[in-house]
Amino acid sequence: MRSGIVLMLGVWLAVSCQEIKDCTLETSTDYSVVRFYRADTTVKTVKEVAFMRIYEPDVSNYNISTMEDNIDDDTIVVTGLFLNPADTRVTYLFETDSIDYELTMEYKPHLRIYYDECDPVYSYKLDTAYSPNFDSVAMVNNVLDKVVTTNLEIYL
Amino acid sequence: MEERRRGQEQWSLACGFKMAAVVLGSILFSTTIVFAQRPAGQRPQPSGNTQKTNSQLPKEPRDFRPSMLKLSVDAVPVGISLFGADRSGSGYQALIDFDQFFFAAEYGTQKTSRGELYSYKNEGSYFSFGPEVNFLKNNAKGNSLTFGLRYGQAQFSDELSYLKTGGFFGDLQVEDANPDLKARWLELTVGLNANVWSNLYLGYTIRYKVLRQVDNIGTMAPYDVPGFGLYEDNTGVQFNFYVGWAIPLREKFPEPALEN
Repeated sequence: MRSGIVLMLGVWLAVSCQEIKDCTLETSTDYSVVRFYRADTTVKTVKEVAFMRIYEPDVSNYNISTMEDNIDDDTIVVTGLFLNPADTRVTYLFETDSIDYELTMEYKPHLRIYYDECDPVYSYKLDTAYSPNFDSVAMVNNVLDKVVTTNLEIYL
Repeated sequence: MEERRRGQEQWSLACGFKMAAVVLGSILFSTTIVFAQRPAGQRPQPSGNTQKTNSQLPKEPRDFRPSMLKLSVDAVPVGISLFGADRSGSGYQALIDFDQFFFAAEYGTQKTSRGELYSYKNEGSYFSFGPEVNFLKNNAKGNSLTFGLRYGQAQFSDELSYLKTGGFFGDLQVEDANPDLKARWLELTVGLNANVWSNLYLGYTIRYKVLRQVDNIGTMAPYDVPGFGLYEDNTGVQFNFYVGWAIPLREKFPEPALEN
């Protein structure tokens, strides 16, 4: 009888230790976090940039809003760029008075049901990012997640 | 408001089912324990005026010839198929003994449908096999308290249909599928099985499943893995309750022939 009680206690403990499911615990995001840095210094320095528009050509009338405004509304040091779940590549244009910068990101979308009471979610992993105009683009973290503070560093 | 009320009703219905399952499980568990602890069916001990301790008795040679084949049906998926609207399945197990060891083989099917705002369907079959050791030694009735290790494998497919709304790139109708998924894992099992009447056996198995691997995943991760549990959980715990019938192959501990 004692072994039966021990066995039931073991089962109860095993069930108790199962992961708690909550839709809000899913931390995947659908945008990459892009930060801007000065290219003309040896010390890594944040650069405040001002673009007239940041947009994806296939998405009409849709401007990216700044994630974190800095000093003035038209300057930013960081922005979020959404990835298209129906594709594996997205190109954004950064419009200025003189030049349109271009940034392309290639990635793998991954669909999953985190918990059956939540909507399915896409998670992304960046494969590469490149630009013909910016001085350089560095991928510092390829996982798009709420806890990741930077995915791409753009030097200009 | 109506949706919330319906949701609450479904939640209370699900809770009711769970409570009923727990109560039923407890009753079956107790019954099995009681039958397994009956003193009947022990190996005949040598009789005589002088009592000898086990260490003094001559060691009998082990007989690894199978004495019975137990064929069982898992009552848990049967219950789920009868009372659950979104899941159905079946499970069968065959056990054959070799002295105090068993070889167990299991086969089952599982069909799942999930989601209110999306439609996810999963269908497949699974099997597992492996050795078990019986800690109830010298039990002629075939009662067993076993610990085992099994290799499990599943072949299944799934599909998802979902309308993703409010995204930066507009609404998107998502249709995704994995037509040929294969999964494999290992199970540690603890089981109790008891003869309750004639050749009828009742028993349960508790499994702890580890080292889950799934091949041929496309852009969508499966949610269910038949025979294992949820893909999101890297480990799984499962309870099976078996109702089985034993086919005797020979008498396990025949009474010694009377000497003239």
